[in-house]
Amino acid sequence: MMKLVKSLALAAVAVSLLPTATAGAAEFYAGKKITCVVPYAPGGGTDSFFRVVVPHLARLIPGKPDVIINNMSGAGGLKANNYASNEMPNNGSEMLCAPWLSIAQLTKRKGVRFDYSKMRVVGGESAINTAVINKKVLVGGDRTTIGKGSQPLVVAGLSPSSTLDLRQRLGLDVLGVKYKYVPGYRGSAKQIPAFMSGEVSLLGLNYGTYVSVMKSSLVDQGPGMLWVDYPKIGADGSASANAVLSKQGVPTLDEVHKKMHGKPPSGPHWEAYKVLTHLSSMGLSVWLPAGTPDTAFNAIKAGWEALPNDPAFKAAHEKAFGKSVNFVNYKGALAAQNAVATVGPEMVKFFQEYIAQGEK
Amino acid sequence: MFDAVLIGLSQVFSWPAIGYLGFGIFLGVWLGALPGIGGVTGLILLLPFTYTMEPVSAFALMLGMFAVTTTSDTIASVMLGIPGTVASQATILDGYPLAQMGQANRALGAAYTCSAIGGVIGAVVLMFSLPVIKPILTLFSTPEFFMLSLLGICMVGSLSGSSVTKGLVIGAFGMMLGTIGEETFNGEARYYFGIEYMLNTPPLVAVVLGLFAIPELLELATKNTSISRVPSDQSRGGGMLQGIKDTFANWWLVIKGSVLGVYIGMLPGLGASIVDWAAYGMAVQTTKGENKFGRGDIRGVIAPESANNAQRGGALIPTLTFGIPGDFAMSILLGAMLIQGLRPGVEMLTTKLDITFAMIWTLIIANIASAILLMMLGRQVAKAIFVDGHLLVPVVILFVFMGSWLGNQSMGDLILMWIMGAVGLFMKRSGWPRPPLIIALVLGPNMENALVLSNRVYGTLGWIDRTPSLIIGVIIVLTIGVTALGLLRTRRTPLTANNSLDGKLSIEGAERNPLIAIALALFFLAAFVTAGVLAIDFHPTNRQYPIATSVVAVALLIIILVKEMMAARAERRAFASYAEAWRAALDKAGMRLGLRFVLWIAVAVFGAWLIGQKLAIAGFILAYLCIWGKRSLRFALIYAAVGYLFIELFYDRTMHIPFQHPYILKLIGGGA
Repeated sequence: MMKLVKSLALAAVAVSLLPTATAGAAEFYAGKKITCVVPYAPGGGTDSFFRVVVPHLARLIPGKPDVIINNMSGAGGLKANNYASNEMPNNGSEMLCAPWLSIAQLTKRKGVRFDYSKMRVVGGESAINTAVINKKVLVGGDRTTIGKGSQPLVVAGLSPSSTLDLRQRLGLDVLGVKYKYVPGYRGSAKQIPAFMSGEVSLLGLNYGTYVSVMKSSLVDQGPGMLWVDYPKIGADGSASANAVLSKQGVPTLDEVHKKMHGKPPSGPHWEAYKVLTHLSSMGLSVWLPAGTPDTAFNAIKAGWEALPNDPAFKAAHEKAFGKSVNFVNYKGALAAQNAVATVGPEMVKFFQEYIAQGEK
Repeated sequence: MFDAVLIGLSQVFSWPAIGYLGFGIFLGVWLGALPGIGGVTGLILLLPFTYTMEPVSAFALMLGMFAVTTTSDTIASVMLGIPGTVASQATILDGYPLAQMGQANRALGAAYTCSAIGGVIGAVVLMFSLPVIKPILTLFSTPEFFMLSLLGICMVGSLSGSSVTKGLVIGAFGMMLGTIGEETFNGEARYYFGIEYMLNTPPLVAVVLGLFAIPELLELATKNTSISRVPSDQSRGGGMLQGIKDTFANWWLVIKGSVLGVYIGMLPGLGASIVDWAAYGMAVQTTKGENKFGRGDIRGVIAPESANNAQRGGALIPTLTFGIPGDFAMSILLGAMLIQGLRPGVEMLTTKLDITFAMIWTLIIANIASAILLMMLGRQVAKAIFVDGHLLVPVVILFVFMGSWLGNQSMGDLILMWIMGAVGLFMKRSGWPRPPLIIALVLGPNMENALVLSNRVYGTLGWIDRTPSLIIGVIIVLTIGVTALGLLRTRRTPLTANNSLDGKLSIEGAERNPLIAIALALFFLAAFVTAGVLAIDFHPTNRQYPIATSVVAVALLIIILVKEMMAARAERRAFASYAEAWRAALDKAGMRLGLRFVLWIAVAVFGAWLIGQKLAIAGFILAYLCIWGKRSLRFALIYAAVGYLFIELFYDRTMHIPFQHPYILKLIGGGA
């Protein structure tokens, strides 16, 4: 009996506390405004993603604050990251909504003044990484014949230090294929005409961009097809295929390797690729500056974690990007944040040298 | 297809789309007229409101607004000599001298008419191009984009007024500015100096506003005059009807300008910033017989204004058909399409063809409606040219400051605007043409990027025998030939400020002041030598372009210095010493007051950093009206308060622009 009384009393206390906590979070943002600092100009992939997210996030954060976007473009995204790490007010009024530039921090890119380890990650999304390849690079559409077709294999890159470029190069090096890497194709305005005219033959992208912008011009009207699925690598070293791509018959990188060489991939490029998948396990992400009060942090986190199950958001995202979003919750984001610290100095040196090679 | 045309039209005329279109046109007229704002800012402003709209309504609002900013931007270009948007820079060359002659209404009438015609032509070409555009687009690869940029750079000659050598040096200076930052093939930051701001290429808007606005504002502030150098009762032949007649009399130029605008819009990377200069250059090069380009020739208004409206339609072609955003504005529209669930490409030409046609109708209706609306308002607008200059300076300063700030929200942009203002002042007062700097700043980075990519893909100059490149190469040779012939003609009738209105007109590159020109030449020489030396440490690929540019510029500067020194020696004979000659040169150029004005702008920039823009701009207005304008404190206070309120309500509350965190708050521990 006493046990029951105790349990009931505890339950009563818990129930009485529950609305108080929610009310506390709600009170914090009621009637307030949050500025979502996006490091690129309006219209691009990052901006479009957060423009779809923001109205729903505003609705789902307790207290229903106004959430507005501030495009703080400059220095290839460094400006906004530097701002968030060093100057952003830590009272919950602003948050960084940006691609996770882990490689830039790790390789000490010029201009980096930010340190993710000192910031508070809220969550993120995980992109499906793939590429489009010109069919003429292959023989009869067989991916294992890459580089043997009538067209030379020329990879259109953004910049040697970009995650997207590192992934393409490491992937081809894992397969042992000869290719020409040409960085400097910044933006779809340069990439699409170059691909359509046959000037370049491999273009790395994420699946959302592919479906929403590039599929029609590169594949439906152009000479391209999806190249491979760049798989995520688990803690045990196993590669996992993406269901969306495998449904379309797109093999993973390691599967192509097995077909080409009769064994699973290995070697320094594969090791670096595995590290890269951890360093890019989160694509777009939300960060708060160090010292942001828990009430504000928890409210934004609650909003972010409610998004994946919100029907209105899911519909809006599918309408814009033609697929459902793969959210990374707080726990996953924290693990990603911590992964940076686990990269050893030798691997950092490898990446620095690999980036330098791409500049030659 | 015909069904889709009609369905598109009926969708635009259905409610609420037609209401949004009307609002978009109204907003676009307003935003275009304010210097430094323009269509891109308008798109950013409207984008969040379109999330919940139906696609036709969303694009009626956005495209309705966007299409007409290039019509109303003429107002600032003609009335103030300050480009209303980047698409109307060339209009100032002849539009402003027309206003100074009291013929603003004529210039505006012509501009509105040809803008409407150009806009409609752009939309019609868009309509007919959709099914056949692929072969044209796939014809152009990176080498062709390099050659097209080179073709654009070749127009520097025809935009340099009477001094091509100076124009080439200024073009080289624009190219060097374009090398700042990390827009290199490998992301290497050139001329970085550890300053985060220097990781970016200087933004065009801040450069344009500084270079053109500050010197013109100084004219108004120091000459104590209205924009028109003739009183309203003495202005003749300047009616709006005359402008409309001028447009139809030059119908072939309107067609040529429009078609050029469409094709420039269609080719990614060229876009709005270059279209007006290209059309202006084309007009100068293809006009036979006597002309007054740079001195108030109406054809200098008609060509760029036809082209910049037509460019809008052209830019939509690759955006809708292939998802290729030709410029920044098209990137935003592409983002808006995604949010609306529209996919560029086949879908827009098949299942969503009606929406595509609704967009085309929106362009047509908006261009015609805005021209009619602006003509109705024209008489009132044109009266501003007779308003006391001191009343215009504060309001224009407000727009110049906020326009420079809008793009990146960086103090660096305000400082850049100020520096370019000071440089622009020296350039204007000593006969250095300013347009080549802009054209080179826009095209330079594209040109270098395309050259580097072409050489890496095809091997060094391995692309030169590509047929499309060869064709553009022939056009380049022809352009240079035509420019050279034009220069020979101009030499016979030299362009000077003294051959009309007693030197009162603002004519690009026409003022002569050898000692000031020498001072500026030495400044450029130091800048090029320093830039060239610093470039030695860059990556081999990244150093070629700045070093080559520096070497050419230094050689040209030596020629200029020799020429100007000879002229200075001739002037020196009239004075007892060089010191006296120098003082006389400063007086002739009005540099004492000029530098004082530049100092005032510097204080306002510093004030923006210290106490934020709202108070700094209001403070500038107050002080300017009391000290320069000699107005009563009460009047100045009311003007400053209105300025403050405008910033608060429009830029802060409506546009949600983040402002500079006042440093003073940091000092007292109250700010972030």
